[in-house]
Formats: sequence, C-alpha cells, structure tokens
Amino acid sequence: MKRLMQSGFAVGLLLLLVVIGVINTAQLHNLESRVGAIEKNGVATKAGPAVKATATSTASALAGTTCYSSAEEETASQDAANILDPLVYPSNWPAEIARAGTLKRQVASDPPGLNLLASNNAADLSEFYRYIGSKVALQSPWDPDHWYADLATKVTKSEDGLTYDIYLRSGVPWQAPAVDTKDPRYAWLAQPHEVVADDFLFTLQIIQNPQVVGRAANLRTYFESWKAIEVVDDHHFRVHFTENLYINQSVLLDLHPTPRWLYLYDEDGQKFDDATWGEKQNSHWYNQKGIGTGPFRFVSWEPGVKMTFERNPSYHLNKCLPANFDGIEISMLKDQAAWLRYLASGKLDYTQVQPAQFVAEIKDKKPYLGEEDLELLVHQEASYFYFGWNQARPMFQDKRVRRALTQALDRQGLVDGVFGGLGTVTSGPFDQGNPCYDPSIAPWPYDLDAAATLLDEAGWTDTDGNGIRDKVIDGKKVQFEFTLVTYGGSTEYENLASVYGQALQRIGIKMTPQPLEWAAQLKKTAERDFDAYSGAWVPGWEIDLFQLWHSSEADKPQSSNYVSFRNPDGDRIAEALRREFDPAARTALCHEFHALVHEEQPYTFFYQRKRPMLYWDRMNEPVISKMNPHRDARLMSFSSAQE
Amino acid sequence: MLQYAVKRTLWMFPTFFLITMVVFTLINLAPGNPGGAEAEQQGGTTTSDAVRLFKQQFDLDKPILLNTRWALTRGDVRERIVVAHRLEGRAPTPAQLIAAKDALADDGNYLVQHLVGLLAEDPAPEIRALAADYLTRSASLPFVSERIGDPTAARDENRTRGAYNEAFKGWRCADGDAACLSDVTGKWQAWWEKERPRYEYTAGEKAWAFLFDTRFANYWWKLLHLDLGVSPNTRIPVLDTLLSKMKYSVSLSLTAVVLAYLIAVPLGVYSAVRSGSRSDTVLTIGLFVLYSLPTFFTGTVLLKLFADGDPLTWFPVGGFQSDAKELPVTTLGYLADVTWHVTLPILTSTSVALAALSRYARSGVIDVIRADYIRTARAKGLEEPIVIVKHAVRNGMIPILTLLGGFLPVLVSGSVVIEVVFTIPGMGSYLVDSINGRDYNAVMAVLLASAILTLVGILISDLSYALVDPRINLD
Repeated sequence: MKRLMQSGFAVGLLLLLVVIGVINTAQLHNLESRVGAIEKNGVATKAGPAVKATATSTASALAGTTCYSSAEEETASQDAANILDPLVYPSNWPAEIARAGTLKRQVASDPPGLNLLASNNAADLSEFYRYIGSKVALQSPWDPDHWYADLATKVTKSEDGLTYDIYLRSGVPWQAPAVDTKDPRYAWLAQPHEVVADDFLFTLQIIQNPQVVGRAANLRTYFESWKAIEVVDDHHFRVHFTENLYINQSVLLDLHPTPRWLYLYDEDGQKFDDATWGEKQNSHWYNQKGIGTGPFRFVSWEPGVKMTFERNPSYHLNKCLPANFDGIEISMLKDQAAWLRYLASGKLDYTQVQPAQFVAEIKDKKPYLGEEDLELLVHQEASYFYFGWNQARPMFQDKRVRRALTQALDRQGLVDGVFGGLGTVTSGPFDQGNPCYDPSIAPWPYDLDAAATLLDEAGWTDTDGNGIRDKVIDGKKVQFEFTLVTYGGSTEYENLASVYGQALQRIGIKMTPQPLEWAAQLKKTAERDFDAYSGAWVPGWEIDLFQLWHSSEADKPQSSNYVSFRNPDGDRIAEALRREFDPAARTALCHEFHALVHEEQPYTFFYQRKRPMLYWDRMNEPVISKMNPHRDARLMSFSSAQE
Repeated sequence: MLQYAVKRTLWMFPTFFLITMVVFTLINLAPGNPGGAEAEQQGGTTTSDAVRLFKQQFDLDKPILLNTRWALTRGDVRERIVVAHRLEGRAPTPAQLIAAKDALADDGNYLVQHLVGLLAEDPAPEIRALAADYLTRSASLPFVSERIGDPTAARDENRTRGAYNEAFKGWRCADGDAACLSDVTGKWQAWWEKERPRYEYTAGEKAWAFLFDTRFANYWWKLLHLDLGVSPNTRIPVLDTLLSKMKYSVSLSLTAVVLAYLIAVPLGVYSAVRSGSRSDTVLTIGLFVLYSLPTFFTGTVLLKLFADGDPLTWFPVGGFQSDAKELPVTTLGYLADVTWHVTLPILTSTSVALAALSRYARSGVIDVIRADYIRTARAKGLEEPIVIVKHAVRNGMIPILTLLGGFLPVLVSGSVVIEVVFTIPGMGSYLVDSINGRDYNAVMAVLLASAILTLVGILISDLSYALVDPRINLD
C-alpha cells in the first residue's frame, strides 16, 4: 500500500513537472512570435497606431532655421576661420513649446557628488551638468558633427593644428552658489562673477593636479597632448598642443569652466594654500552642490530622495535654446519596478521601461498601464553589447574559432526571445547611427553547421569521442572547454548563457557561465584572467580606436584592450585615424576597420539595445539626443501650459 | 544580579572587538575597491599619483590586519621593479604585473631605505633610474586627517608636508641620462643622510608597525575618537548620512514592532484560550500563510491593490513624505502626511513579525494555563477572565517580552526589501548601496550600529528574564 502511494506520488509529481514545462515552452514560443511580429511592424519608430491629433506631430516653423543668440555671435560666425557653426534647429523641433511647469524624471541612484572634476566618475553626473553647465561649444545633440557657439563665439585653429584661439562671449554671469548669502558666513559669495578665460585655465589645472582624485584622474589621459593654456585677456585664451590629434578639438570644445572664486576657497572664504589645494578639491565643502552657466540652476539635493533645478533667467543662450521648464525635479528611485508606478500616478512625466517590464506590461497593451494619455517611444542606445575572446589564450587565437563562436550564437533569436525584441544585432564596434558604422557589413548568420565546419578546419575535432572537441596544442591535448564571465545581476544574461551553452554543446564545445558581480568582473578583465566575458561599450561620437584596439594597449594591464587584440592593420588604422581630419577619409578608415574586425571577430558583436520610453502626451514627442538618448531632458518639452 | 550585569557588560567589549575584526576583514577582502572601480577601468591609472593619494587617504594602501612590510629586503623591492617594468627579459602575467605595481605604490615609506640602496649601488642604470622615480613617491609624506584633533594644527602640518613632498618631486631622470642620474643620486644621498633615522626601523618600531600600521588599527584609532570616517565614494562623513537615514528606518521599524506586539498578544492569548478549537485552527493557518509570504510580495500586492488604482488609490506609490511644496506646514498635518505614506510599508513589515510573535504568545500562555496555580485560581472561584488576564497572561508573556531585545538591531538596520519596494531612503538601502560601492566605512558603520544594538538587546533580554521571573537566578 505504502509503495503504491509512493509511486503514485512520484508519477503525479512527474506529470505536474511535464505540464509546467509545456506551459513554459508554449509561453516562450508565444512571446517570441509576438516579438517577431512587433519587429516587423517596426518598433524602431513609434509603436502602436500613432493617433496624436495635437500639434506635436507637426514640425515647428523653426525647423531647419538658424538662430543667433547675440549680435556678437552673428558677427563671429561671419569669420571664415571660425570652426563653430551657427545653431540650426532639427527638422522635428516641436511646433508649440509651453515654457512652463516642472519636468519630473527619475534616476536609479544618487551621484557620488556634484563636483564635475573631483567627485568620483559616474555617467549620471554629466547628465546634471547638461542642465546646469555649459562649455566652450555645444555639440549638437541632434547633429553631433556640428558644434554650436556656447561660451565661446569663435574658435580658430592654427595652420599646424597645434594652437587654438578661443574667444569668449562677454558678460556671461556665473550662477549664484546655492547658499544663503545673507548668512554672514557666506557673505564672501554675495558678489556676482563673470565667466572669464581664467576659469578654463583653472579646469585644466585641476585636471593636471595629481592630488585631485575623482573624475579628473580618468580625464587625464585625454589631456596628455595639452601643453598649456595661455590667457590672453579675460575673454580670449589660447591652447597649445604638443601633437595635432583629431581628438584635441572635441576635448577642447567640450571643456567647461570651473569657478576659481569658489573652488579655491574653504567654506569661510579662506584661500587654500598652493601645496594642498588639489587635495582639498576631493572633499570640497561645495561638492554636494552644483554650479554652472547652463539653462538651469542647481537648487537642492536630498540624497536618496530628489534633486531639483530651476530656470536660469540669465542663461546666455536664452534667445535660441531657452530652458523649456521652470524647473526639473529628478527623483532617486532605486527600484526600477517603481518607475512605472510613479509614472502612472503622475509623479513622473516620462520614464524608461526595462525589457522584462516591456514584455510583461507594455508591449501590445495600449492603452499603456491603463492610461489613455501615455505614449510610447522606442529608440536605440548608442552603446553595443559584445562577448570578448581572450586572444592571449591559445584556444581563441585562431580567427576561424572566433567566427565559429559567433556563428553559434543565435543573436536575433536571443534579442527577440530574451530581450523582448529590444535591440538590433550589430556587426562592428561603432554606434549604428554613426557614419563610422558600415551598414553594408551584415552580421555573420547563425549557422551551427558552418560553425562546426570552421572548427574542423581549425583542427578542433572530437578525437576521443567524449562529445567535446579537442586539439593538440604545444604537445598537449586540450579539450574545448571555456568559462564565460557574465554580469551576475541579470536574469536575461542567465537565460542567454544557457541558450548559448546548449548551442555550443551541439557543436562539441563546453561552455560554463560564470556570473560575477561588477567589481569582481573588472578585476578579472583587468588581470586578463578570463577565457571570455560579456561586456558593453559606449564608443562615443568621435571615434578613437586606440584605447580598445591598439596592440600597445594589450600590454598594459588594466587598459581596455582586455582581449589582447593585436593586428598590424588594426594598429595602422588606429594610428592613422588619430591624425585624420577629413570626414570622408575618416569614414573610409572606420569602414576599413569595421571590415577588419568583422573578419577577425576579436569580439562577437552582439546587439545594440533599444530603450522604450513612456511619456504623458502633455509632452511633445521627445527630440532624442544622438549621444545621450533619454539622458538629456533639455530636449524634452510640454506642448501646453502646465500647472 | 548586579555582578552578572557588570560581567556581561564587560564581556561585550571583547565581543564587539571580535565582531569588528571579522566584519572588517571580510569586507576588505571582497574584490574591488571603493571608488577605484572606474579608475581601474579607465586605462591603467591605478598606480597613478591620484589613485595612490586616494588610497593613502582612506588607508587602502595599508595591509588589512598585520603589517610585515618592515621585513622587506632590497632584493624583494628590486624583484618588484623588474617585474613591474618587464625588465631583464621577464614576461610576467598581467596579474603579477598589477600586483607588483600595486605593491610598489602601496608600500610607500617602507620602500625608502631599499630604494635608496638600489639607487646608490645597483649595477643596472635603468633600475637606478626607476628607484629614483619611485623614491619621489615613496618618500613623500602622507597627509594627516584633519578630522581628528585640532584642525588648524593638522592643516599646518599638511601644508608643511605638502611643501616637503614638493621639494624632491623633480629628483628623477629620463631613461639613460647618466649625468642626470648621478646628479639625482647625489641629491637623494644628501637627503638620506638627514632622514635616515625615520626609515631605519628599530625593533620597537617594527613591532608597532606590525600591529598598528594597518587598516584595522587605523579604523579603531578613528573609532576611539568617535569618528566613523568619511565615505570614500561621496566624501561625506558617514555619521551625517547615517543620522539622516536613521529617521526613516527607526520610525518605520519602531511603529511596526509596537503594532505587531499590540496585535499579536491578544491574538496569541485568544488562540491559547481557545486552543484546539476551529477558530484557533483558522487563525493558525491564516498567520502561517501571512508568515510565509515574502515581504517583497506582500509589499507589491499591497501597492497594486491600494496605490496603483487597481482598484484603489488610497495610498501613495512610495516615499516617506510628500514633496516639500505639498507638505502640510502644521505638525499635525506633517504627521498625517507621513502616516499616510508609511501605512503600507508598516502593514507589510508588521505582517511578518505578527505571525511569529503571536505564536510565541500562544505557546507561552498555553504552558501557563496548564499550571497548577491556574487550576488553584479557578478552584478558588475566580472568574475566567480574571484567571486569564491576571494569572495566565502575566506569566505567559515572559518569553515574548524578552524577545523585544532581539528587535533592537532591526530598528537601525531597517529592512532592505521594504525600503526598496516602497522607495524609502532608509538604512537598509544605504547598506546595500554601500556594499555595492565598496564603501567600507559606511558598511562598517551600519553593521557596527546593529552589532552594538544586538549585544545590548541580548543583554536586556537576559536581564529582563531575571527581573520578571524570580525563579531565574543569574548569579
């Protein structure tokens, strides 16, 4: 009797498992086909039937027109030597912008501080400075090859490219520090200050002072070719370079001023001394506040809760690019599940949607979150995901092996099945929106047979019949087994690794996933102590191949050529690109490099992620920044007046 | 009793010391550095001056528990230089290379005497040039903390040290410049004659360094000055952040605990009195279901039902209080606003504590109800409610009251899950962020606060046993 019950129980359990398995598979399949359908209908632009009868879908009369913020700027633009361009509005510039109300958005965590140079590096920090700061020139968010006049109205370059002259706009005021100047302690800050050439010199001095730790330490490599800043007068400075490199210009135009009158003094207005002023920057009393000359002014920051900004009435570009809001409120919401909840309750104006949420709650579910007035926009991010193969290890030194590993990865299937269709498979190391990316190079197709053939050609065969390929390397038989280091915090990557692992098993390769926490993964890649790892990279708009791909970087531990890619052609292109200024020639070099890495497969390039964004239709359709999609609230706007 | 209390209190100190040692070692051994992650990522700058200074400032250049760097030999140092610069045909692995570079940067002052020796006597000119280069860094004096003692004196000291370090910054040479090298060697020799006593360690200095020139000893030194340190990531004093987070966690947990007791005790007594009845069974099952629901689930369901508008929007979707603009100005209004915000989180955390507590209350009362003196009380004709409330409950509550001590640490450490789900910036989420950011000082501070409260809680539990139950004699 007891036996009977036991076996009955066992059979029941088995049945239950089978049923669960079938349901799971059915759901997965269903999901994949739905994603496929969406892909075909083109999520890439606007999803769902776009029935927006408001004025937002019609472009503004300003589209394509030029705007000068001052007569001084217009005069400077007449100078043929000026490398700055006048501001031109994009074609999708909204017709109606209600310049009122407070924009509410969220980030996942607090920045480590608000000192752009001395706080620890964090992507979030640059977002805040997009609101409160301004630079020598403004790289056009919608057309990043152009730099608009910002703090400078004119920048000229010498014949040999070693000297740049920067002419500053006159009468640009620094924002008032976020302190109560009626308090006698801060009375020393009551004086207004104008932006002068010396403020740019101070930025360089901070970056070059080894005592300053934070972000300045990371920037230092970009300033190695900087010889000196020569202050000619308050509104004119000259930068001398040791070498004429392409990157010099964008680093210079991207330079922001730092108020010496604030950061060189302690809280009581006492000046720091020469020997230790750099050290003092790291824990400067003003580091939890921000200051700048941008469209918004920093108001307050309560860590873990909120950061607020208000309109800067004396912003120097107020005529052409005024702040679109009275203020911006950025909430810190650690739990990304809460983002949609906050959006639906009206506490946010727009938010990003995570892939899992997108599949479960948004896709095909208009009205989104049950709200008629929510709109969806899906846009592509500028970064790409990849798998890196450690070419210092004999196993991965043959490019046929690397290509086999690429062809064993069902990239489109994974993007659709695991990442909710939110991505485009990619074939090279550039953003697909950048001219450097050669769209004619198609990604290697998913083809296990081709992969197996490539492995056979490379000498990897299963000689001992254990199901795993092997090869004699240096007189020793090696089994094709490797470990793939992945980011541990992601269920998507867990699924991905199991799918990939199964495919590899079918062609006789044993892959073991090793999910690691970020810090642990960094240590492994820095020490080159890995077989393969999964990573992501933001290539940036101005392409410099050196850091990632030059063989000299492979020898530096901790530098980013983790996979030890050494290729004479690659080195030649990387070196040439650093000194090439002609756009067409640069694109040709990029395309040559793209073809090279496509052939060599030092990485298996995976995909570029798409981010769904939900926004209330009281907003205009967001103008997406090509460089910082969804991290540039300057380009957001309300279409009608808000309370 | 008094003797016991004193003895237990005294034992708390070594226990606390051991706790700090274990926790400190563990978090320091985890891979990764505070704030250093980016630097490591950005192209090999770990050994740059900035990172060296950063590590010095937060004692990250020191060994964790014991310091044996005084035992280094000139050969060790030479070996490191050879490895770090791939000299003499060496091909070290990247891990070895990084280790050698880090060691050359971290060992600081302990390298000075060997570097001076190498500079003067090594046959290889490239080693001598590198020795001079490393000397400019190793010989520089680290800044002292301006947070302990007199800040003006510390500032003056740092100014002196800054000028001192500046003086020999240029005493190094480009490769292969023989004239420069002999000039620099002369300068360092003269310097060495003056500074020698500082770097030739006596037995006493070695013993002192072995135990006290370490991260752990430095941490304790600051702790003894009631300084929890500065967060290496945000540069804000940890204590300030801690205090600002505490108001959230304490108000949440305290209310939840009090509420749990208020509900659990009557429920437990009711179950005990009706033990075995259908209502007891229903209650037991209900509470066990509640107990087995994870808080993130309960929290999300509550939010869905009462905040998301599916079907109700009675409560806010998160946060501790309204925006400053909408916040009521009166105290009463403020309290009402906070109550409105924390109702769901408190319900969530109460639901878990409730089940456990009511079970304790039930079993406590059941034990007592069967005792002889209850039968006696009934026999002498007391009414049932009086028997229960006056005789049974009072004695049956002893175990549950002593549990209160166990709740103390929760008050401070908060609940990670509830704080994340309800987006409340309390201690729990602070701890998690700090662990992820390798913010050692913050992690230590939160854990130490709960360690102290755990110790105190246990002590209170034990003492309260003796106080409420005369049969227990601690002496």
